[in-house]
Amino acid sequence: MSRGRQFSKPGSPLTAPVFYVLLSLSIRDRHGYDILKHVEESSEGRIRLGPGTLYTTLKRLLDAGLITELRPGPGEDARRRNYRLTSRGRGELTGELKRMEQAIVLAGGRRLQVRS
Amino acid sequence: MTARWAVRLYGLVVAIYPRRLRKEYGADMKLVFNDLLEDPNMSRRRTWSIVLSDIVDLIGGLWLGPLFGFLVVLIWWVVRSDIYPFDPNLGLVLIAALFVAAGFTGTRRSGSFAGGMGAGFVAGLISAITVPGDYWLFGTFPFYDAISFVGTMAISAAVVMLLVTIGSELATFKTHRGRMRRGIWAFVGAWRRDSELSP
Repeated sequence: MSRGRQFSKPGSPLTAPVFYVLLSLSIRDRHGYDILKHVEESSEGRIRLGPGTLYTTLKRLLDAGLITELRPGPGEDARRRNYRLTSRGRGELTGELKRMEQAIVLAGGRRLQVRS
Repeated sequence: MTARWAVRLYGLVVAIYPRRLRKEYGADMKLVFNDLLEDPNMSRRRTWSIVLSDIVDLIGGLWLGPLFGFLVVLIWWVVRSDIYPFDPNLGLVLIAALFVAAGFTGTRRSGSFAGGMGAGFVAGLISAITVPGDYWLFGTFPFYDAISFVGTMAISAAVVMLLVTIGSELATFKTHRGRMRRGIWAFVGAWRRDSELSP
């Protein structure tokens, strides 16, 4: 399945790496390693992206227009590319968060409890 | 291993990624790997375990179909060449199991039925090399004419895709087990009612 199609398909959930990368960029612009560290921290170590998975995900997000690439600013390491969430990317992330919220409400309505 | 050698070794890992990704992001990937090595909170062992899981993901995503296809070709070659005494029937069973496994693992890894079918399709395409291979290596061409060739290939492809579908179906069985059970019971119920109504 092509990534573009998956992103544009309404109602389809995002994969965990995509979700956490978008979440990390929703806070501020970041470069590759910064994203990798933030994803690991915010997922409490459950999602560990390697360099390969990270750049495969970033390329898919760029192709789908969910993020953009920024040129390094003055005084920044010229080798590092920074990434920024686009309004479309923010929309996808908001949609995913709403889906999660609905799932929690649904589970709460059925009096389901998360077992530890 | 020194950091310099680790970076060189990672350069070899980067070489197995698709050319487009490598060309565009190869340098960035090496830079991130270097950052991982220099991170005081990250042990060398953990860094390599991340790289290893990356490779497993890559193989799972890109090379799963070809991997199963080449295994099928390997079994065919062992059976046909008599390099090792191998029961041809067992070879057939193993090849069938490989196609089921291609569908199963493809579905599991990609998280979609289509992913499993895709992996099985690629495995089937690669294993089709056994037909000209049989002719070139062992001089056999068991087809009478073009129609028998096309017909046999079409039936073989259908059998292969059926096996792949079984594999993909098995991987998603848990998710629609209930629906299948209801379907079977509905069929049994209709059949019973039909038997009772008939004179």
